[in-house]
Amino acid sequence: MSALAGVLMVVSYGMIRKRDIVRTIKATRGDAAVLTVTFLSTLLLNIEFAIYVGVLLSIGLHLAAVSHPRINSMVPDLNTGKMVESGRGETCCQMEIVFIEGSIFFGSADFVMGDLQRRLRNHPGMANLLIRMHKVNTMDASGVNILEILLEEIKLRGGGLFLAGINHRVFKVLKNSGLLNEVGVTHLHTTTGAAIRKAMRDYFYPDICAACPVSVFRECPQLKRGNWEIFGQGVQPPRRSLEEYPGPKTIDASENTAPAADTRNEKGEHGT
Amino acid sequence: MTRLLVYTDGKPDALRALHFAAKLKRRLNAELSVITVRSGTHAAEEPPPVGVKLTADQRTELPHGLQILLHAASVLVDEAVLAPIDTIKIRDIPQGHMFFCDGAVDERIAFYECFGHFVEAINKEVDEHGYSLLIVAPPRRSRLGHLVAGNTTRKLALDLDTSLLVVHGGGPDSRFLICADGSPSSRRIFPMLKQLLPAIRQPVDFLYVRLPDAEPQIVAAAEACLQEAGQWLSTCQKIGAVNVRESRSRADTILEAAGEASIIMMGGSLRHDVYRRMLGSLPMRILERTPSSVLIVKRLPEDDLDFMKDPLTCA
Repeated sequence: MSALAGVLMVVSYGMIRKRDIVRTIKATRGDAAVLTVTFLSTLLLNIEFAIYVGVLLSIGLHLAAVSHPRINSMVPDLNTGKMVESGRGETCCQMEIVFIEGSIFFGSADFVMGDLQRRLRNHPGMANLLIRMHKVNTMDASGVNILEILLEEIKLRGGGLFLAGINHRVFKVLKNSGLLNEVGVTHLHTTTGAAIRKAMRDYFYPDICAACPVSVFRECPQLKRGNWEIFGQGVQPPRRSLEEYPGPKTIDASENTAPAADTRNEKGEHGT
Repeated sequence: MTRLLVYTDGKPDALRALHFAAKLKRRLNAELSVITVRSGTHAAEEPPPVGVKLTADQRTELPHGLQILLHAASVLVDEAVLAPIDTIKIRDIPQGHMFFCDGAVDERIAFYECFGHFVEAINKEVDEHGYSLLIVAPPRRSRLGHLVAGNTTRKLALDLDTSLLVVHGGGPDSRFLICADGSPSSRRIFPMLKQLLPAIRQPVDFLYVRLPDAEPQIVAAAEACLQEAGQWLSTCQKIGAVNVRESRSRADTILEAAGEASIIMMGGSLRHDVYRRMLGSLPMRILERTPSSVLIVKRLPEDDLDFMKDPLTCA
């Protein structure tokens, strides 16, 4: 028995790779924590439970890391047409454009919901929301639930929810959950530009465009003059007046500022 | 630029897809790639020499999947899409191997040999390179054949993440029959039709099969769609007949109108996946029964009205 114990000690010592331990500790604080906790659990618990502890901790830390997708307000660059972060804080008076980078699933649902609702609260007069989803890889039922709640809020404001650049995986989730019909298939667009034009043509209030202090889009000068024919011959502005508008009847220039945006650059590949 | 992906399994039927793809590529000046998918993993066979230039003599020793691709390359050389092949250099990719050949003009055509599940492997390539159309020519099988060997077209119709052209009868010069009824599903056709228009030589026919008890607003939407499409194609001088037929069986009417050598163009079904898997869809029923070719447009739905009114869409 003593000899066997000795063999086990030598074998187990041979399995320790110091270089890997050092690398793991240096890599991230999460990896170092998992290593430490698993090591201590091995000493204090049965080995199978210690492995469970390590695996569960790793899963928990991974979920925590991916539960905060990047969400930025975007506007088109008037020179290049590319979508860029609204660094100067200017946003359209009638539509918020947000870019989500990451997955929308049960782990990130609360964060995404909170962020988007905060943006809507900050702009009580804004009736349209365009979500650029080019970098949303996956979405689950929690994501569908978020969009459904946002859609209700947007509809109460008399506007539309638009989705741009969704991939087939996300599209299948929308279709199978039935949300596709609620959002409206004509509100899904491959490019952000097409979605913006659709929103302008069908949902923008001419009076608000006329009173809006900023010109975010190339189309703004024409829309301010009430010229909707830029969308096609004979196209008229939606027959809406401010009387029908559920939001504030005046435009507050100070409100027309984006929420604190992440200052990292995003090179949008789909412009207007 | 339109990106075409053509599938070959080395069987005689696959030649139809290659010839069709070559013609489309030339007329659209499109980007073309060729793929073959093999079951299992590449670990099961002798690895090919990677990263070295292989002459014609050395290529005879290559594994079966690469031989299929080389055969496809020789077909494309005959179609004048590829320049005569001097040497090729095989590269490793995560799911198999690939090589490039020089096109007839200043471009390269990629040939992929992938291992794994047929539809998953193709979807992976589609996801990675953004192909807008997959061209396949599967062999015709009986019901028993489908039961034993599987129904390739059904799998693709259900799960492929891009538009699908199943080549049977007809070619790029055949009559295009557009099945449009103004529904969101059928409106997906028009952006693809716009892309393909330069390759279409004959006038484009429209077919709307109206159900006898169709609601008035559905009929109105269909008629508005046909009118818009008709105006658009009139300006492009590509409009043929606009047929409105009343029938209880849309599939039978479409099959009768298409005949044996047309290209039937339909929008992919937007029904729930479970419904489509259990009960099928109209495009799937057409696919199973028609001797003509079928193009199922599976682009994500988008409002088509903007581009129809755009006068610059005929080129």
